[in-house]
Amino acid sequence: MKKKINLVYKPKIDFKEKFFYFVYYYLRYILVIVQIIIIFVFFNKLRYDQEIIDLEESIAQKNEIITISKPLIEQFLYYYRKIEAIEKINKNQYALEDQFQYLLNNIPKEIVLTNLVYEKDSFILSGYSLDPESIRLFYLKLKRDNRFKVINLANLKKNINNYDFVVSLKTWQK
Amino acid sequence: MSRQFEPKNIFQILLKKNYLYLILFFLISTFFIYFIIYPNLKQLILAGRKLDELRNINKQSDLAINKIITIQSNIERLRNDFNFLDKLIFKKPAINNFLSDIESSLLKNNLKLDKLFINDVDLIGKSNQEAPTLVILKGEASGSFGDFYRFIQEIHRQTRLKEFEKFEIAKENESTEASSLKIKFELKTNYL
Repeated sequence: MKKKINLVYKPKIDFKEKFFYFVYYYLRYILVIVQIIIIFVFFNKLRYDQEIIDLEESIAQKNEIITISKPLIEQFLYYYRKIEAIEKINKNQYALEDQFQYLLNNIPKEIVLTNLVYEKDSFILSGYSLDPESIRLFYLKLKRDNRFKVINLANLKKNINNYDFVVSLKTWQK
Repeated sequence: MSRQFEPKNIFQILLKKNYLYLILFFLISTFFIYFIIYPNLKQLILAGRKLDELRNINKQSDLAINKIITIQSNIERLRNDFNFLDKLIFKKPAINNFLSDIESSLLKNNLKLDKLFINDVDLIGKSNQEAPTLVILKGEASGSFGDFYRFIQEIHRQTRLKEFEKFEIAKENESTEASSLKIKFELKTNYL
């Protein structure tokens, strides 16, 4: 009878040993790393939460101040709009006076105005002159001074005794 | 007969080559990462974002409060001037004041008033507080060119602000005296 004998010793490792081996060499690293991360998160979260609560309280208080100050802001905006409107009106008033003064000073004596229309920063002058040269000089003066952006001489007509003309002036430039 | 090892199952192979521990290590690690580390870090990141937002809001609130303090100090400083601003642009239409201003200016500058009318004025005059409300007055007068220029200046010097929307100066007719002109004008004023 032949008997097989295995001469290589093969230690038999049971489950308990394998488990402890795993816990000792593998699982402890996992647990340590996880614990380090959880502790890091815990302390940071604690710090963040504290800061969040402080900020929320601070913002709530500031919002209260802003809410209480609303009438003050409205009053300020009301007067701000008023000042804006005043500035605009003042500017328009000065512009009109300047334009009017400029025209009064520069219309030659030979020219007789029959109609003058002002509307929104533009003038339309209608008139006549016995001397066409005075109309030409007036037109050239307007062009040379360049106080109006658009200068248009239209309807220059010869009548029996005089020359009719219409000049339109737009956009006053200071 | 060969003496090759014949594995019975996968665990045997793994156990033989010590892979079982590695596989278990990664499986457990994955479990911890997915169910413990990920939610924790997620919470921390969200808290961090919230903190950033709150810091930003806090900064803006600080700026707003600084502006309010500036506004308050300016209002206190300029409180006496507000009455003057209210005289420049009235709170109500105050048509009677508007008319009397124009009438007095016309008389003062030798202009003869022919017509004066106002359309579409809300006499209760509840302004919308957002933008100035206009009151437009149309008038017709007669006088000289120089008188009308002085009338414009007079209107512009008055405390309640007014501006000319439109005007037309024309010769009345050939028969009348040279200085007499027909003047049509539209004057506007605001209330807020």
